[in-house]
Amino acid sequence: MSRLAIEAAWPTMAAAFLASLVEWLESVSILVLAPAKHRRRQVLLGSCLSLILFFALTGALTATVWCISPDLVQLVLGTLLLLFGLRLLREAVLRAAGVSDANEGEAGWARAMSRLRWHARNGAASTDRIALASVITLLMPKVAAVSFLITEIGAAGGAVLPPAAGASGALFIAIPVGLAVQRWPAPRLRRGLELLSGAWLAGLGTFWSGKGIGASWLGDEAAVMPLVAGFIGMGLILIPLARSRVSGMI
Amino acid sequence: MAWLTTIIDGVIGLFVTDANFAAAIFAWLTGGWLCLRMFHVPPTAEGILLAAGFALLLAENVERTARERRP
Repeated sequence: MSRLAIEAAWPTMAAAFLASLVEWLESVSILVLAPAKHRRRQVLLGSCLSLILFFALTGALTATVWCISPDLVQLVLGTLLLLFGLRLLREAVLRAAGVSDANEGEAGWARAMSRLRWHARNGAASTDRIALASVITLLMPKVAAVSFLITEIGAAGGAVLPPAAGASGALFIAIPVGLAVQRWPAPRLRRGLELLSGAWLAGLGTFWSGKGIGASWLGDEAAVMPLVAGFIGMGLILIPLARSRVSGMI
Repeated sequence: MAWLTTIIDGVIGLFVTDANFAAAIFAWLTGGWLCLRMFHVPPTAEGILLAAGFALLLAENVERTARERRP
């Protein structure tokens, strides 16, 4: 790969890597922390079904967006990326400020596990099927998120390989880390990754949706990194502001 | 079918958790598109104004959410 191609591809690769890492780490935690009696068959089956859906969804979405006009793709997928990025950045800020629950993912997992225990206690015919449904229900949104990210970043940026490589790299890091740590990602790590990936996706989304409506950018592609830096700075400024608002200091 | 609803909610939740925030982003983008066609905006300012608007929307939403959730 030439130096120019790497320079053009690395912002999209890094965006997909950072955003996927959060989702993959939580997905591995869901599988690793599943109750021992359901761990083998149901968890493996749930993971396989989720992976099949991941490849099917990514393939179908990529094939679909490649059939639509590039300008429309840039506008629509740029807007979706912007929504995704700003939502992630907003949540990271609210969690860091103590406004939102910092362990929302873990709480969702705990709710699913307590539902499973309740069914087991009340003599449900097959807790294995409920365990499988729980694993799939928890994994699907994460798998869909990574799938959408690869397609959106790839289609809006004009090349699907860099975001796919970024997401794959994140998976290869998340699996050994998840297996070694055997617990949910620490809230501080999760918030940091969410803030960084949210700002990155918001920067890319702003750039591409702007291009989609016909706005010109100073320095063209070079405007992406200042946008990302601006959103990171904005997030860091907003954390103390939100903290003071929720504590009633201002 | 509850699991399907949960999955669909999860997928929509990837993009929208606060409907007002998402609507404001759409409104700013649509407003930007209209302004570009109706008024003369200096090309150097187009992107900056668009990004500044999104940053302000984020700031307003975070501030309002924090105020509303004050114990």
